Amino acid sequence: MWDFVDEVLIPGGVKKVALFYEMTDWGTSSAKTLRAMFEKRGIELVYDQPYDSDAIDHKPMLTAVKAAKPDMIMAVSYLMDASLIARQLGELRLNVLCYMGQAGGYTMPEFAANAGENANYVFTTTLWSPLATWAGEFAGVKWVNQDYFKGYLSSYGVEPDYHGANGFAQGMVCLDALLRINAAGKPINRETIRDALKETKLMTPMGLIEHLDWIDEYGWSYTNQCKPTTYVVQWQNLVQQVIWPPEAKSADYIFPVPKWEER
Amino acid sequence: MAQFGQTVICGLLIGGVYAVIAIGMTLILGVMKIINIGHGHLMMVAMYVCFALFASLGLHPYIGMLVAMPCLFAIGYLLQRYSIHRVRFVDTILPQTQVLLTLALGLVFVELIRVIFKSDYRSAYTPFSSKCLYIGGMSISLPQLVSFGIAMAFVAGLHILLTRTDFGRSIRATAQDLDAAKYMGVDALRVSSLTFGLGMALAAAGGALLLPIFYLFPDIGTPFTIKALIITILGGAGSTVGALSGGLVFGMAESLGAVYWAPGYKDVVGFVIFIIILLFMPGGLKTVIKR
Repeated sequence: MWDFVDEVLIPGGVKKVALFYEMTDWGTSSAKTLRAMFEKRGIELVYDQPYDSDAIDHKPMLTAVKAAKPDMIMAVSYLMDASLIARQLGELRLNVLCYMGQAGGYTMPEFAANAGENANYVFTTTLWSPLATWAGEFAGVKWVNQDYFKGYLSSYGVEPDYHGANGFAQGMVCLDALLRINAAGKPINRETIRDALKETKLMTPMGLIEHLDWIDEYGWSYTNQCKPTTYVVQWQNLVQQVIWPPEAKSADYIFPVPKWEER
Repeated sequence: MAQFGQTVICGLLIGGVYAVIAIGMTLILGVMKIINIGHGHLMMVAMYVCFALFASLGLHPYIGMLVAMPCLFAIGYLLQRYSIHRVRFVDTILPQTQVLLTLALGLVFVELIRVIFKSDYRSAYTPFSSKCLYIGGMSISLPQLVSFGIAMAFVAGLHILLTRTDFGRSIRATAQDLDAAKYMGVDALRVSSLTFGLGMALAAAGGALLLPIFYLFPDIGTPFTIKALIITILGGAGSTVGALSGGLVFGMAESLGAVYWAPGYKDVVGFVIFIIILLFMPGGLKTVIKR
């Protein structure tokens, strides 16, 4: 996401950001990173507040956001608060150059169903898209990313989002570890499973999964974490289009987004 | 100025919906002297009735309300007559048994709804759901405005029922002194059961008004029970005018708190007002209004 911010949003005029986030651990921890990354880029946070995701009416908060006159909104929301916020942003005609969600509720098909036309032009990060062209072979079966999407849809009657793909990939990782342990003739116990997971290098619908250790520029350490590709998608005509990275895009981004009065 | 005006509009509109949800609880508390902890859960049942009609027949929740209200009236009447009344005047382990019973009944309905509809979030979103009027840089949500108008009509209707009809006089007599009302020929059991049903019907109305602007899931009831209780105490138990003023005050407090303090702490403003009222004006706003 940050290369999109650096290469598109900041040159496009984003100088002031309103950040609001749901107030449980997920929202507050996400906001901690987002805050640091925006401040590192010299972007002014004109609004920075947690909110209750169960609130009936987000308009008071959005009224304060509107008064702060941000260029961009960055939100960390679950599904229904994301839908309600998108609707009420439109009702208040809160115009910004870019409204971006941090995955979560913004990636789910139900977001567009509940927010309606107000979902259009919303950006969000996501860790998976049905449009990604990952492919591989697993346990003797050749697969492509679309196989997962179609299988999920036919099984459950609804489209998956990255949460489902994440869970599916986790299943593949577990099975891969067990198969390698078995192929090596080792017993299946905590130690062999741990060692096998550490050596994982598996292509999944989420992309390549490896378990790595590193320390980032802020001194936060990560142990046995993977780095799946982060896409930036934009809802266009109520369909998610991959707009970043450029080599994976399915459509061009629309930025700055049209004003509410022009839609 | 536009920011303050927008904040006030948001607070008043949502406060009106809160008022009609709370007025059912204040009626029950005023007459029967019990707190219905299942109030929000039963409101949720009404919302699902409206949602089912919306999803299957395309009926707008405002129309579905005409079905949900009689359904919840019947449920409330039967619950009071054949369940709550049985523990109301008997010696029990705890004096609060009837309150716990309302909680248990509410939880039963929550799980029944979960079995039928699952825990998925639902909504009755229509193109009307996002329509607004724009005046002087402020936006007024049309669904919220319609909900506010209908809520005021219900409050006014209940006030007229209580003050201008024989049945209303029976309700007020039962609320003032149960034994004296019985001696004067009031069928207290019938009045209590009908009052409970009426309270549930009003909660159903509140839920139906909420559905176009909010969403729905089985556990939605608890926050509304809490809000209804606070508004009931804030306004004064048994007072329609108190419930109305309490709802509007609570809605305004939430709205102003979210804008001028922090949205994450908006509930704190309402709770602080609640505590202040309990400490310094335990009779609620109705004592001030009557002066």
